[in-house]
Amino acid sequence: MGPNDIELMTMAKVAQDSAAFTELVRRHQARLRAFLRRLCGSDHLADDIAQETFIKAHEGLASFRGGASFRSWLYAIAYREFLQDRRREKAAARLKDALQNDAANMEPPGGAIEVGLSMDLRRALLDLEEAERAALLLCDAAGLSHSEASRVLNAPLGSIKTYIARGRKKMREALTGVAEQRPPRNETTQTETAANHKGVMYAL
Amino acid sequence: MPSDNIETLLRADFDDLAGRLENDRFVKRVQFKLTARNRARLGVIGLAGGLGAAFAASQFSDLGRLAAPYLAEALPSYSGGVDAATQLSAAVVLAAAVIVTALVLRQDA
Repeated sequence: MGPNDIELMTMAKVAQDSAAFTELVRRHQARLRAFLRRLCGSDHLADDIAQETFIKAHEGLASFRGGASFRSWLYAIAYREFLQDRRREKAAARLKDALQNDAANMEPPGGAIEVGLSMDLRRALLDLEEAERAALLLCDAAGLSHSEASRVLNAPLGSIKTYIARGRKKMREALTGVAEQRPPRNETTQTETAANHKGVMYAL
Repeated sequence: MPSDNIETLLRADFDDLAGRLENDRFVKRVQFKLTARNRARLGVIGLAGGLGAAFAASQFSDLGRLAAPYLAEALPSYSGGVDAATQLSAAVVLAAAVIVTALVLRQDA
């Protein structure tokens, strides 16, 4: 078994070991980017923020306090970067373009039911408020504890629980609505649509 | 309609997405970005070292001329005379400058 995150952090911090930091990037990048992609709704923007997050983390190694987990520290940086990016007027315009491009270029990654679900999920997620979306993604998707999410979002524990409950309710309503309202597209896809409809209803 | 089904859907979607992102070139890109600043710094140090050595070398002929009588005494078998002594002292000091620059770069890498 290799060194844990804290040991790698110590190696990167004290011994200036770039291989140790690269290992941390390798361990966390996929889930961090998945979190940011679902949070932003744009793959390109999410990857830019993820890259910036790792650079900031590398620059701020000295400020890391052993009390928190590396993961929650990293996600907190990522969330701050996301908020900063959102605040920038230019970034807002870029996000809009990217969202339009992504919506036009959405490629099915798997089977029909999975595709429908994933796209409905993405839309339902993007309709949530930012804090609700972030809390739901951190706790329900990425597997962080409520207290870790509280540190990441810099919000009280009670607020995190409220965000999650409210987010789940909105998602449930949105996905149920999608399943009930989705019209059959044409004859050849009716079976697929029915299966998709059934999949969403069954999942809920 | 249990709420943890939303959690199941989100978790499955998230795991699937993260799985697809696991082996792309992102880590390499971050590594490149992280080392870019260091590479730029090493470039600046190397350039400064080279310029410093070149400037110092331009002064060596005068210094060498001053030191030539002593060097000629110290190196009686050296038939080059003043010019040879100048060249020798310049070569020694240049070598020292190169060694010092190399040591700095090595420590920084």
